[in-house]
Amino acid sequence: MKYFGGCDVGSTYTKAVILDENGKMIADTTIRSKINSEQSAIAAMEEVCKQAGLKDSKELAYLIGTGYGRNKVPFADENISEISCHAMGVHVTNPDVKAIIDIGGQDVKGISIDTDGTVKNFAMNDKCAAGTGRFFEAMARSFELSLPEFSKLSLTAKNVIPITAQCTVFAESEVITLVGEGKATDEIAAGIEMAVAKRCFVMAKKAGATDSITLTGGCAKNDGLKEAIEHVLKLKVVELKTDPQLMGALGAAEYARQKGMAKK
Amino acid sequence: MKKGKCCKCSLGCKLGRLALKLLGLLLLANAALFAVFFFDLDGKLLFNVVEPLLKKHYDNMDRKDTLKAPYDMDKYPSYEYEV
Amino acid sequence: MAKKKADIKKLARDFWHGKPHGERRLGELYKDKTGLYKHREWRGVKDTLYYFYMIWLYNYIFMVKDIMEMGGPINFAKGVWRYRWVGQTYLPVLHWFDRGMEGMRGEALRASAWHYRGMVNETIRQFQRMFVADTKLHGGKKTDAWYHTMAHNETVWGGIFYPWSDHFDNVAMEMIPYFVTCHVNSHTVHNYIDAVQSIGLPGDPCPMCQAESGLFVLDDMPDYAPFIITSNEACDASVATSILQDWFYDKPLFAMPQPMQFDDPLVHQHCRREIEECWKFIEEQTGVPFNWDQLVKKLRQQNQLQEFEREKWEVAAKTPYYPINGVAQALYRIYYSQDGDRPIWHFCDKKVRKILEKCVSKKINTFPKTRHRVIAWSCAPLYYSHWCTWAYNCWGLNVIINMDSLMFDMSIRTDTYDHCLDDMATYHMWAPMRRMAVGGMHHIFELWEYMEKFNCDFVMMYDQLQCKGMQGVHGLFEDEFRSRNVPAIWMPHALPDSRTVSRAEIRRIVNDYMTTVMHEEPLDPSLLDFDDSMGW
Repeated sequence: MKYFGGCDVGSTYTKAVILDENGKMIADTTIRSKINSEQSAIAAMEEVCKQAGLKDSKELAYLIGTGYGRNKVPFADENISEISCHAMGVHVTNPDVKAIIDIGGQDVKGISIDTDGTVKNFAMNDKCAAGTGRFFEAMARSFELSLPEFSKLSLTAKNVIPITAQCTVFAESEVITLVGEGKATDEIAAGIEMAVAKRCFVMAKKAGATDSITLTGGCAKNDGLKEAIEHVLKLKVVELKTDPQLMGALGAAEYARQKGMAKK
Repeated sequence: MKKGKCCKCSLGCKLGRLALKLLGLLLLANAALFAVFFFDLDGKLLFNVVEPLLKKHYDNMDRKDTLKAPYDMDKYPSYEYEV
Repeated sequence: MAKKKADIKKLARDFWHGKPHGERRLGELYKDKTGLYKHREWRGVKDTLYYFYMIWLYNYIFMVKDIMEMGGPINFAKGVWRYRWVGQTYLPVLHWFDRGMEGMRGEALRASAWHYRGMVNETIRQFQRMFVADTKLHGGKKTDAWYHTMAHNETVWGGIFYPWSDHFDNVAMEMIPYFVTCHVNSHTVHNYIDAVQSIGLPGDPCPMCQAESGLFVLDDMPDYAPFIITSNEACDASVATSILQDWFYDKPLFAMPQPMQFDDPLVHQHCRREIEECWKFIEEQTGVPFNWDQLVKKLRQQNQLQEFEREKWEVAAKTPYYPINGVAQALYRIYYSQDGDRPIWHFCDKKVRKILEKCVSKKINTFPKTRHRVIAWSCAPLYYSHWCTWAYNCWGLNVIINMDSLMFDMSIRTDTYDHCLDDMATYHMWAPMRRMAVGGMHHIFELWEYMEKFNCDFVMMYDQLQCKGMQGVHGLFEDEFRSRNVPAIWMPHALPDSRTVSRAEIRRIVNDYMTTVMHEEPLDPSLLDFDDSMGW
């Protein structure tokens, strides 16, 4: 049996996936990215190969690197853009989904998927941290909560306290002020989720979303954000049966599988 | 040897030698210029020597503080005309 | 043995003709970070020798000649020593040629280089005129040239001054110290942007206006004329610039502020009046009356430039024989359209006409690796105007036409004063930014008309990050691209400021789109990723 790997080196997390010849995921891992992208890739691949019962990544028939630091996966057979990999990852998970919003650690992307899993169009905001994983980390810090705790906070809110600041830095100040004023924390959290959801509106349009969309990236695990997006964008957020944070690595592994099998 | 014939030959030779020398110099200059052009020596000189020197000069120049200039909005008329 | 023979044959062929497009590996010619070349391109014997003699040597020699004839070497030396924007920018001007002409061959190389030559000559004419007239270079003395020069904003069309062009010269304040410098050396302008921000101007208005003001803040503007005429883009930043210019320059000033809408009948009436009032102002300041005959003469000459431009567009739209590359087309056109009629434009057009006719008659495909015919819309990044050359070499993206070229598509009637003034008012209204950026929504629909007219299948949508006017219509463009199924790349940039979005970033954005959406392979992979961060 041949095995194929995908390694997605992100700004915050590095993910790796191994598929078998039939496209079944047999191992996956998510680790915190180090400052050195190459080290992150090595560590993730070591971990995932161990899970799959392989000695090292050399035993893979084909390996594709992707993500922010994709050129830093020196042992990869090829590097493919993270946009293409996210699209393919979502396509193999749920072929009915045609529009993605990927909220990563430092950027937000809107991706429109074609019928074969390739990219029809995309848009990216990588100039501003507002609305990205960094933003949520800063907000969770303000509440002195972990990210999973913060993501559920807004679900109990009866009202929404709007966050007016566009910038992550100023938004953090605004939240601290609101918390200090004794405002309900779940309502503040609901305001934060709403602010991000509104930013996703543009990406959703660029992704060509009509009635449904799916979220990928770490922020896809934020239940409060999902609820806010459904409310603001009037779109159904389709849940993926695989961890949405793995979509980039999964797509890379699928590309590796297709190219590796074609090489036969 | 007849004097006239000797002078004519000598002049022709001299001119010929001069022309060859000039041609040689021209070819040499051409080759040198081509070397400057092909190896981007003009760009390298400007980038590594001339520009840094000039930038240092501009950075250290004494400049008038334009903010000290008074702003007198009534100094000049409003320049309205009948057309 | 046979292989060795074949290798030698290939070497000889490559030496004589130059390497074929896919083998050139132009990215490997760069010295890391600097943008300098390890060596200039070998384009085959004919084209390399043409480049050496008729572009490199010719331009160096004629630049010296121009300086000698138009003010002399002493004034030039004084100007270089005094003003950063000359010394830091215009000495490496041949590298500007190199960047714009990279990879080019044959008639396309020749024709585009003539356009560049025109711009160089006119640039020298303008700054030499400034130096000859400049009181700062003459110990405070007002020379005869000072009394016979008119200063104005670069957005005031040179045609306004035609009636006095037999006795006076007009030189835009910012065209040479700011606009052209961004193309030739992208670093010079940073000093001026930083200077104006240091006095409190916020960083988010248009950096063009910031840089224009910064020239005055740093006292880097020559004092070369007794009065100024200002105008503005249709934006608040440029109004701020005019106010700062008024303060720091401290001269009689006539303002021609333009309302937003570029084709409103009331605005047209306003522009007519504004031009006539400006003429009255000039008469008052100079003591020289308006000269109708001189105006007509210059306008007719300008109309000739416009006629040839239309002929060029005809060839560009309908054939693959158009020999002007995207950057030469855009820069030359906007330069002469704003600057006004000069002899050098006619000289260059004559040269280009010959080449154009040769290409058409002999059916020379000037850009044979064209994969997509591109129309470039909105305001281009000044620090990366030669991105078109890179895009063609790397991806076969041939920029056929662009918004700046299409802005002044009109001839001016000279049969009666009334007709003439009508048309001049329209030309004035159609100034940069007003017609195509912030002057309403009409430019959205003009894009589709021009796409069809020029047979373009791809849009490069420039996205000036600080232009609030264009941001307001961003979504409308997106909707139209989607509904018309038009491939379009949004190229973010900060106009003259290369620090916000670097050239490498712009290339990455184009590369990502071409691989991810268009599924294409690069023609020259060595151009995908290279470091020119410190380059001019």
